[in-house]
Amino acid sequence: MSSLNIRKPSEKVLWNKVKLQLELKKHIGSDHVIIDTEGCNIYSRDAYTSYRQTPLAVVLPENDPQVIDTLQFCRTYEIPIIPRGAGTSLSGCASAYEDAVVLCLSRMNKIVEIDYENRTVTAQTGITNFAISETIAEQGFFYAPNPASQMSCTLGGNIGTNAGGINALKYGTTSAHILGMKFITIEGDVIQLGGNFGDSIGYDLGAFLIGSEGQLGIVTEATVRIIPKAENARPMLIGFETEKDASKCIAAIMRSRITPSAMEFMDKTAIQISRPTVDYGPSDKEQLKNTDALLLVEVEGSETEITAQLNVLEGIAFEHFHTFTKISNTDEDAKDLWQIRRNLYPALCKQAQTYIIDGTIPANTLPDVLPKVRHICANYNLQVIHIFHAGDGTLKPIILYNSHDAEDSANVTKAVSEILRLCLRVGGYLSGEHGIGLEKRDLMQDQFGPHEIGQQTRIKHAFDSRELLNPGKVFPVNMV
Amino acid sequence: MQTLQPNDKNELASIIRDAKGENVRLEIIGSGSKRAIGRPVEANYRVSSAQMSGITLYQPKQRMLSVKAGTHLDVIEDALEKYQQILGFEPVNLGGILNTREKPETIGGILATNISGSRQIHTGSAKNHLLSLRGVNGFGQIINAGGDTIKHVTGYDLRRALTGTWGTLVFMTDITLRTLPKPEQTQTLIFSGLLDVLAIELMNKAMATPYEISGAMHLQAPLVKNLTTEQNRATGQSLTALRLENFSFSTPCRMQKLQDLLGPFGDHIILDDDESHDFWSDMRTLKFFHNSKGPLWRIAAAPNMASEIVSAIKSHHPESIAAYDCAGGIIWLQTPLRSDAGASEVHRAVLNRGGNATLIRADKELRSNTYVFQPVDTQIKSLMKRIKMAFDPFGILNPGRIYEDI
Repeated sequence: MSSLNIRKPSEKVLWNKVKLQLELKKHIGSDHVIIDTEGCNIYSRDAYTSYRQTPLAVVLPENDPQVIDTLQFCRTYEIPIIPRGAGTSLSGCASAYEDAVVLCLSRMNKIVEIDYENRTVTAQTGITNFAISETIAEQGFFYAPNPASQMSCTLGGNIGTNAGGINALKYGTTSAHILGMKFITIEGDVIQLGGNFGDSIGYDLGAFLIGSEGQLGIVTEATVRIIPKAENARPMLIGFETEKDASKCIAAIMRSRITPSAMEFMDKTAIQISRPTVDYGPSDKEQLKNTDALLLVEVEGSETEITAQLNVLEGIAFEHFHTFTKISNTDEDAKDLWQIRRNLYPALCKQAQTYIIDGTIPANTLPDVLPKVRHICANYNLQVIHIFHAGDGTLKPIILYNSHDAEDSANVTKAVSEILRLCLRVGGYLSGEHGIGLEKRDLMQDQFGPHEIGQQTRIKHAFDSRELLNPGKVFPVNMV
Repeated sequence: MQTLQPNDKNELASIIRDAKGENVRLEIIGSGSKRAIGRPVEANYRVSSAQMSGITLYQPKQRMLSVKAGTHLDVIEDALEKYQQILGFEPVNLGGILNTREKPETIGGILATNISGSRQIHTGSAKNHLLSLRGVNGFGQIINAGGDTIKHVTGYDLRRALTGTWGTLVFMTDITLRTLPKPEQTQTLIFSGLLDVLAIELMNKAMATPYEISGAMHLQAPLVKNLTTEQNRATGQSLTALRLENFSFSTPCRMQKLQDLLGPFGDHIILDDDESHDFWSDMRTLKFFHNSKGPLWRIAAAPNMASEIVSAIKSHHPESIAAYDCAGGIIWLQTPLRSDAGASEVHRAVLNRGGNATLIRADKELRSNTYVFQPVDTQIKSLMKRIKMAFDPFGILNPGRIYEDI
């Protein structure tokens, strides 16, 4: 992605760099501002590794007034602001610019209120996703969105990208779980939306903010819906001779009355690569020989309900030429089956560097798209693995490559663009849960027409007429 | 007023572009079933989605349905029934309370208002079920929003943002919805004679269980006499209902556990499938308010504040009657026939305790002269105006429907 067209930095800001850094430190307080190059370098990029720039400064506020002061400072000197949580974005949503201040909310990580009566938690948005669920677990509740990075990603980042995760098939994405939020506009106004009730009035401003990648305001606090945990949850592993059978089985499960709490797809390469480190059990060796795809399907309920649902699923699997099924009968079994899925990514990382692509496709195109993605990658001598949340439309090809090899890296860039364009051709979209950021920004012209991008940028201007909040992301630079 | 009925999105876009040039204002309607809600619109022409109707794609295996915005709800529900599927948000049918039964509700109208039914407590409101939409903005441009998948984060989420904007930002033309499997078995647990506070405590105790309650409603005693079945009318006392919908191997077990938990709240009965269907059909049409004419409010509140809000309003208007949906998260409140529908007391009660109020039933004059939607502070209002400008800078689409200037 080295060919990225990055916005032109402000010469005025760069010219006055040292003066602005010192003034910012004085304005906000030295304990909350990083200006040394080494310290700033840590915030130069997020989990999107193709672009980095050391920012002018990093501000780590602990409260709203410090956020307001930072915005006021940046307004005065026309300095771009990069909102950041834990920096886990894979699309460069939090990539820094040399003339920008990174506003990192990781210190604003307190639970403000737990309201079991109304089943809500209000928290500052620097809190990690996992910390919310962990705090309420003893009372039998959980916070449903659970992206793969949930141990480190923040509520604010989840709001910025409308994060989903493994359970989104049943419980929906972040937008279905945010009841209220406090956000600070670029002008420094503190706006409280909603609260511990679930309805908006007039325009749903929160709906504009969720998924806006920090371009419309700084969300510092949110009230989320919490859900009683199911009595139990048990997964089942199903092997298929072909990917086509697995795809048809996914459709049949969706057509049934069962809504799995999770459904994970793994292809043959994933199985092969993970064999040395993943224990599929000795009895499955023979069956795995003829298995080109795996589905891990989890259902919830009482033990009786789970058994009945797994029986139904087994029947569906049987109709779709499964090679084997493995049902978890105990908590320990369940843990073992999930471990197969969890061990896959670390096993892949041992093989090579990984580039995770995130697109969406209509579910009925899945059987055609999977081999086409392989074909694209093969043309660039790249190996690709399909592991994704099935049933919710996401497609997550993982490309293995050598990031120190310039040709390999260039090939990845080309393959990613081709794969995302393939998603568009079959009626899908550029992103299911990573967001657009810098990574897919220039492909937005392939997704949307000028009217649609024009409409979106007018919304941006309605919230941030100064173009200071996370500029140069989401929309092509020449179209803003 | 002349009603224009474009045949497709391109004709509609052309009408709006012409309106822009001629300084014309347009009232946006589906069948007109919800015209009596909201501030009356002052417009030169009415534009209806009546000719943009029909199911364009139904994929039961993908749990996905694409329709044109003017498609009648009953057409959609008939099609879903064939494949044993439903719309998860259980659209409320307001024909009985607005006296517009002859005007079938359109899916565009339902999404433009985002007024959803009792099942939203479990599955979320209409906007949670909208996968994508196409519409025409005030520039006369065709805009696509969303994608046909559950997960989607490609630019700002206009599909959710445009739901519930009452036709003031875009005229929706095409809609794709997520469908859900029809539950195999439904049972309803009914308690009688509980006071509001106790009923809300009971409902929220049930909501804190893992049994996936898909309806939690409390009707004050005077409303019970309007219900369809004798069994529900008989006691004449307040009625509190909890709905369980699931597999036949699941619902009875969960019902038993619920009874064990909630038994101390008093005598109760269980409605089976058919009886449950009749009961929740009454809830969906707000049948308990059909025989009255008083102003009707829909109030969103934190469940534990609901009875306090109603008490505060009743202290000024003792004749007010309430039904609590969503375990108290939504209050349907009828206030006495007065010049202002009790607006100032309703707004104050809500403002002090969190929430918002919308006047759903009131005559035109009253709707012109009072806040139909909860007043918002100046910063939010100013942001709303800027959003209106971003979609419809010439004020063509449904001007003044939400607030005087929006």
